[in-house]
Amino acid sequence: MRLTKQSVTLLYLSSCTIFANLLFLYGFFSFGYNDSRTSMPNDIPSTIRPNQNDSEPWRFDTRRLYHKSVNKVVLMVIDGIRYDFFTESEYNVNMPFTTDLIKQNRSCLFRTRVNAPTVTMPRIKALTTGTVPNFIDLVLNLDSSAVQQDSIIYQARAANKQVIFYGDETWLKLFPNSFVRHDGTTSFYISDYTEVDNNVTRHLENELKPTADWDIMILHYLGLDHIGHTGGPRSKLMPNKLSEMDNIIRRIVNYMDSEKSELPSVLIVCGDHGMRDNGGHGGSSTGEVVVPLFVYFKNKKCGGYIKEEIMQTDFVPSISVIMGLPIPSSSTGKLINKILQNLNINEILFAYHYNSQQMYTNYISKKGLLNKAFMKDYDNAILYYYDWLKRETISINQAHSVISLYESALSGMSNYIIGSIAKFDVFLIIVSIVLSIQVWLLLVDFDAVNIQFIKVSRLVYLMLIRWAVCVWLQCDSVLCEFTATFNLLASVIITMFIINLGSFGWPISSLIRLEISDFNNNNLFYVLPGSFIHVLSLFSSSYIEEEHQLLYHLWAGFSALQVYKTFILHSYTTTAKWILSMILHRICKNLNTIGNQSSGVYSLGDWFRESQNQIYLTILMVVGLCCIFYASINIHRVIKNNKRFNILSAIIFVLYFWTLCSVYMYRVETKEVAVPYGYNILKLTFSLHSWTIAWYLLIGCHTFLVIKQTNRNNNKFNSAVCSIIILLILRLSLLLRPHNILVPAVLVYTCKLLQFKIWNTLTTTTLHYWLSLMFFFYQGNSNSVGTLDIVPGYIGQTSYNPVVAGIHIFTHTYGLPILVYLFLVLDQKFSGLQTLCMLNVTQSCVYNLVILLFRNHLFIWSVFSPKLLYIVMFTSTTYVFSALIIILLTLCGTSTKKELEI
Amino acid sequence: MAKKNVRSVIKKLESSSVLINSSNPTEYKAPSAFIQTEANKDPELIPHCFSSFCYLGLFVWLLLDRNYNLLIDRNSMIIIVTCYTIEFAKFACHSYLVSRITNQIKPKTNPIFWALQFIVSTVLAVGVSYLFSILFGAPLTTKQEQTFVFSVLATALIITPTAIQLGSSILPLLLTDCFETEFDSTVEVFEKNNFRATILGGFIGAAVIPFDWETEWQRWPIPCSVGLIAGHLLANVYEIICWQFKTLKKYSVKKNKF
Repeated sequence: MRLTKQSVTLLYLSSCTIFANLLFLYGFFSFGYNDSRTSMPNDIPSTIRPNQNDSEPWRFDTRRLYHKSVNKVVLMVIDGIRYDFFTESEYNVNMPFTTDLIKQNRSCLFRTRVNAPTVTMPRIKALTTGTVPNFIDLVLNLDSSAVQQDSIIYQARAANKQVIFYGDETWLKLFPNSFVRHDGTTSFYISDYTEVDNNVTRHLENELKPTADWDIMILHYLGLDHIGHTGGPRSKLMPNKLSEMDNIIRRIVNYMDSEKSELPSVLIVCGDHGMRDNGGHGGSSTGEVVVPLFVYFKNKKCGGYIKEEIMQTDFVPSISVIMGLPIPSSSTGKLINKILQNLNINEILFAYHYNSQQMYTNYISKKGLLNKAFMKDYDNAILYYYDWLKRETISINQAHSVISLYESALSGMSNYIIGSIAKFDVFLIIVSIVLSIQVWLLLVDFDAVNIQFIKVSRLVYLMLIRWAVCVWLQCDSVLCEFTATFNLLASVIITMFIINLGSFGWPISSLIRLEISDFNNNNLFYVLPGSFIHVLSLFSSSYIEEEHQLLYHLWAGFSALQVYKTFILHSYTTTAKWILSMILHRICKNLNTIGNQSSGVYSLGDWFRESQNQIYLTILMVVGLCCIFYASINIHRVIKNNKRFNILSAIIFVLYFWTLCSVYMYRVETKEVAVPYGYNILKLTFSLHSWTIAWYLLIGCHTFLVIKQTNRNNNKFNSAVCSIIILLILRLSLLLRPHNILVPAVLVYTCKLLQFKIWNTLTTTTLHYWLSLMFFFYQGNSNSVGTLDIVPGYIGQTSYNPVVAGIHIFTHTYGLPILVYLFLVLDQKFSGLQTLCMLNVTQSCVYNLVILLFRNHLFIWSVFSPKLLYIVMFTSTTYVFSALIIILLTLCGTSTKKELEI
Repeated sequence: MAKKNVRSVIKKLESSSVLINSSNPTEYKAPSAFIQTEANKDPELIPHCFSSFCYLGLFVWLLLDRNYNLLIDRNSMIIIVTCYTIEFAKFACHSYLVSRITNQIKPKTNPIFWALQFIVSTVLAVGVSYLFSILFGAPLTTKQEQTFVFSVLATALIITPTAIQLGSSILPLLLTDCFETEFDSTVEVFEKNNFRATILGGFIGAAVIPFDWETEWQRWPIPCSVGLIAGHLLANVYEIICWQFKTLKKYSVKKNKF
């Protein structure tokens, strides 16, 4: 009975954790800010009326004031170009034509600031919609689904403009069916930096003809970014690439100059994001967030180098105005004055008026206050503009003062709108943190926990406290909205509070016990400070980025300690085993390079992927599969009660072999490993279908074995866990990239090394926790969303099925940590599970606190938010895992470890 | 252990005097005047003070004026040679002080054999520390020079003092026993502490590498090498503190007695 009570308590506590995490997420990310409203041509203001009551409105002649002022627009996006490529003589000697254009003031160069995350997809969104993509936006759009918001592309389509596109295929995913002609290049092969650009440039010949029918041409060049990834901005390939880009600019400019059209054409060259000094991007360093915006108008002077800094989103209203299109509704950009030089003063003023009207609508919908200083400017601007229109005597100076008023109003509203995206519900965040702290305290002192009845009177008291806090602090948290849904939410939270507070035992007792029982175990003296440092490292953004380094260092230190200890005890076999494990871990560490510091470093995985090294990859694959086969057989032997060889085992071994062969054949089909002898026959035998059949047969066999198992010495539970381990390994061997195939084998080896030691539960669990994170990183994952591998989602799928793909991606990403957890519960049973939950809650609790403290940190969106998502994901995984294990424990009737000892 | 100097005699005396306090004070008649005079001529204190001073100087010098840049390539041989010089000077000082003490058994060693052993153990230790640097994550194909220099520095700080002081018993000392601490001479205890503190210093020194400050002193061997030197320095300082503590205890024991 004790087990049931304990497991129910643990389940309850993990549910509390999940609930607290979800509350935190809800409070942290303001969901639902995406509006799908689109601008219409009749959104362009037709009247102006400074006061609602007295004066009569002024009617605009919209057609005359707001129209197309350019003939053709070429938008050339160069992926990863930095601002100093245009300004520093080190780089711009390679771009003589462009530099001359700027120096002769025939074009202008703006210093543009972009927002994090500096990766292509959100930046394209910012360039086209004028919004600042929130972090959660990136996550919700992981599959790069079509943009729902209003964008300049949409507006161009609505106005029947011909838009053509050549370049990065992300655009095609974001704007399906928007382009008249298009050709996508994939950014998948980083080592390809010539083909990817030639595939874009070859279309120019057809498109740059006098008879061209397009209105907007978008070119997205990826090669420069690829060079950056491989060699950084100072790569030897960079000068050639820059002069290639310069030639393309020259070609387009020459074409535009030769055009015979009244209206000028415009060429805009910009970068979507910059690059770091080591070539990577994604963060918020100066090199990444400052990009050039180069504008060339045919036969018009522009300002040359322009000092003032503009935002990337400012591009959107400006281009809309010069093309005479409605400004996208959700745009947060302000007009760029220099780009509007072709227009006359009437048109410029009207454009400013329209832009601020559009911004004002957004501002009001974001609950902006009307009593700010910039809102005064806004009112005054409208007033003066109205006066200016009425007076009919054109005075340029007055117009400029109106413009500056509009500009100040625009920047104020724009800042507010951008800031309101990052709006936190601090009250909810604090409540969720308090909830997770309670859970943590209960988990630390788990044995003393005794869940008691809910006292209704307390519920009433806490409800009153909530009401009092809400009224007193005047906060606009969702908890203070007295609607049915949020009242229900509040009462659920308060119920959890009461249960948690009522079930505290005597918290200090377990700490004392810990000290007494583990005094003679000096592994704990290493492990405890280690986990303390690990928790502390969450406070540093660079340690979050480089968490794998810290964990590897801690683990290597522990291994070295074991080597030393076993050596002085003269148990040389164990020493050799530990040294071997260190070597294997060192190899695994180099398989994939992750983290900011080593971005662009050539990893072992890259080497294996190169086509001339295919034979080595094949060898690695075969060795890895053999190791997995051996490991599976070994694990299977362990769970078998009777050592006799029977027919069922034979079948199971054959099935193991079958699945692994199918995995190899699948990789042959994807052309990653060498073709074996007798390929045609093997292909038929070991197809992916046969893999599925064999795997499901194995489930059946293992279930049969588990049921047949006698329930002595926890045999049933052990064999069930071992079966899950084997099935998961076989599944992972299919999903993992070929060069990662050795990782699960190393995992099994390491976990076997840790098994059945006399160390106490806390030590073992902490070690397994480190290992789970380490293998998560070995596989190529990291704490940034960019490394999430979505290719395994498509294995064996003929059509896109989001559920199956999701399960595959989840298994691929979290499969190795779950394997480590399985080895942990195999060794430690229920107490290990409980300690694991405790460690997990410690991590997430401290991290929530960190985010609360650092919510205005510069890197909050680029570094801290992805890590938050990963931590929540880990917590959910642990929750699902512990629920599964508790069910298994109950089904198999396993006694807890403690009772076993008694 | 063949090597017995006065220090161990005193130590034995001390431990026995603790015993005496509890059980039978009259059994062991210690010539207390002798202890006091010999304690002043203690052969441990002055070398430790000397080497601590030198290492502190080296440490401060390294941090001044970007001298740590020397640590990344073969220029760091200057620092390594300095370390060797300090250790040899320390040993010379130590042996001079020991030779002034009269009643002691001098260990007889063959200098050629001793030198041979020293070289062999150094080469072995460089190899082992190179291996472990790699296993701890030092780059394998690049920066070999840095890694090599780091392992030589580690050897200089860990093995050299031990090898000079103890000659043949170096490997068993560092690698085998850990339960017989009571029988160790103070030199051995010191060397063991030195081994642990120096390694720990290097281990902790790596903590600054992941930060994104992008300073030049975050490059691979610099923080770890500085950590090694700092650990070694702390081990020396710790020894002085221990000596102080022991002396104080001796005096207090004496005061209690009389």
